[in-house]
Amino acid sequence: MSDEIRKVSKTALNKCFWYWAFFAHACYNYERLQGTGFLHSMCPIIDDLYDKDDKEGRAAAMTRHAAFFNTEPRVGTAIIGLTAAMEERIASGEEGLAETVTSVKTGLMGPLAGIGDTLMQAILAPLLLSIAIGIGEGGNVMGPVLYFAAFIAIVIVLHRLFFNIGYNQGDEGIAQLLESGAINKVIVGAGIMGCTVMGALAANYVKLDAMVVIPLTTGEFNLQENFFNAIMPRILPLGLTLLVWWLMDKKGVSSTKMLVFIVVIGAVLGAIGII
Amino acid sequence: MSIFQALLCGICYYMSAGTWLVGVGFYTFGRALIQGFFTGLILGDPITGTMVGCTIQLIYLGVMSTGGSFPADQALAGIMGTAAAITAGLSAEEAIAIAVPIGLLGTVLYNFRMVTATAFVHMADKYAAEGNTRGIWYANVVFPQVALFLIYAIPCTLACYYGAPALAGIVDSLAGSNAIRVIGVIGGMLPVIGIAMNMKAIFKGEARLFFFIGFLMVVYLDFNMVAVSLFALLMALVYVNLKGDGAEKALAFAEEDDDDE
Repeated sequence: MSDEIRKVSKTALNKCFWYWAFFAHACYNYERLQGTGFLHSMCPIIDDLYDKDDKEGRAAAMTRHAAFFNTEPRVGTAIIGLTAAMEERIASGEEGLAETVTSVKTGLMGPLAGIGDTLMQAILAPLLLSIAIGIGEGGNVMGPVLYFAAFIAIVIVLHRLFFNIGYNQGDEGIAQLLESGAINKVIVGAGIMGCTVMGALAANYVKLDAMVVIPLTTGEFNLQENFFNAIMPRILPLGLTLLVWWLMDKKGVSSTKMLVFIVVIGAVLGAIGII
Repeated sequence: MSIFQALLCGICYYMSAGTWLVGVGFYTFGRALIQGFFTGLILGDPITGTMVGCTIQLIYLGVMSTGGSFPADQALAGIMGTAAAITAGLSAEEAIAIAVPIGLLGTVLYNFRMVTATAFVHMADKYAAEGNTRGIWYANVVFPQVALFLIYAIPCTLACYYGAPALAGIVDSLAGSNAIRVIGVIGGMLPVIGIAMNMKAIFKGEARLFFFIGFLMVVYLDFNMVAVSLFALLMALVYVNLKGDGAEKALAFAEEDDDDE
């Protein structure tokens, strides 16, 4: 990095960061998804780099960031930081960069969304919710309250972390992050935590009991108590969980279809008194 | 429920898609648990609200919304289920009978919002061509959020005010019948959806073993969720440390996906 590159002010950089954190999804829509959110986050950078009278420069910069954009907003903040740094170089007169910035953006948004969605939606949210449900199921309001506070704190930290990686280390920094084992280790470890907690949830909250009682000459045979519980308590919820997972993951049954199946099967078996 | 309370519920629903909480309305007000708590708070019973919210949340635990998709609206399900439960004294399982259909209906509002917001994209294009950065405030935040507020808050307010008592009345009229027992049976099974949906994303490779460890921790050791989570954290650390750099190969998250669809 030569010292000819014009740096934006700290205020502009902070504004860029917070605009993205708050407004990435403010105008979420089917045509550009986060496109206008991306453009909005670049506005403080553009204001800082281009004079008020430089209408052409501003319009060119704004138009190139109005395009379709979609990623996971937290991990994807790396792209915001990176683009801010690239805009500095473009405004300093680096040739050809204005044309490549869009392909850099679109090239990174997919891989970062993959990591981000796994971290946020497959791991962090279900994990924290499971703990919150464990605390709150009996009516303890600390369950939802702690979840709420913890999530916002974690999100701000993640935003800042990835923004700094993008701005300070550039696309090489992001590529390194994608290739190094660090993120994979976090995902693997968190996946193990998630699996353990899902197993506990299945045992705690999936309820399925056989109601069949067969009268015998020596008393009665209760299918649930004398058979299933003798093998392992809650073996039916375990079987149901694995079956539903298998149907959804391996057979491609959608969650909405699965929901309808369970309602229908539950209604039929429940009505005739088997469960 | 007074119209003022219904309006507050409507505002909470707007917050699930609104942009004001560092952009994480989706993870906070967008969760059935949080909406259960707030609806309870608005109606003066946050304890019941939390309990109902927990029950409804389980169904939507593993919902993933990626690339603009939105499979179910757990925020509206949480609000309506809790409102009906508190105003009519339904149990958490009975509230599920109301929450689940509402969760499917709510996605209509999401789609409507995603389509109408495209109008503001063209407004943003116009400001961009003029180099007008101030205009983007209107095109990205002010107008889309006003539109979102109207699209979300008004239907939810009306549904809470008129719909919740009516729906609760239907469920209440079944009291003591076999239908209520069956609703309870179904409600007991439905958390399997939320769990299986999350398993779809993480139940892979050697991590599968830990699912059974978690299950047995509850069945035989009677651990609560906090205890399970702490042990899970330690087991994960031990596993990753022992595996070292081979950890990601051992699970091979990406490669395992090839048998999907």
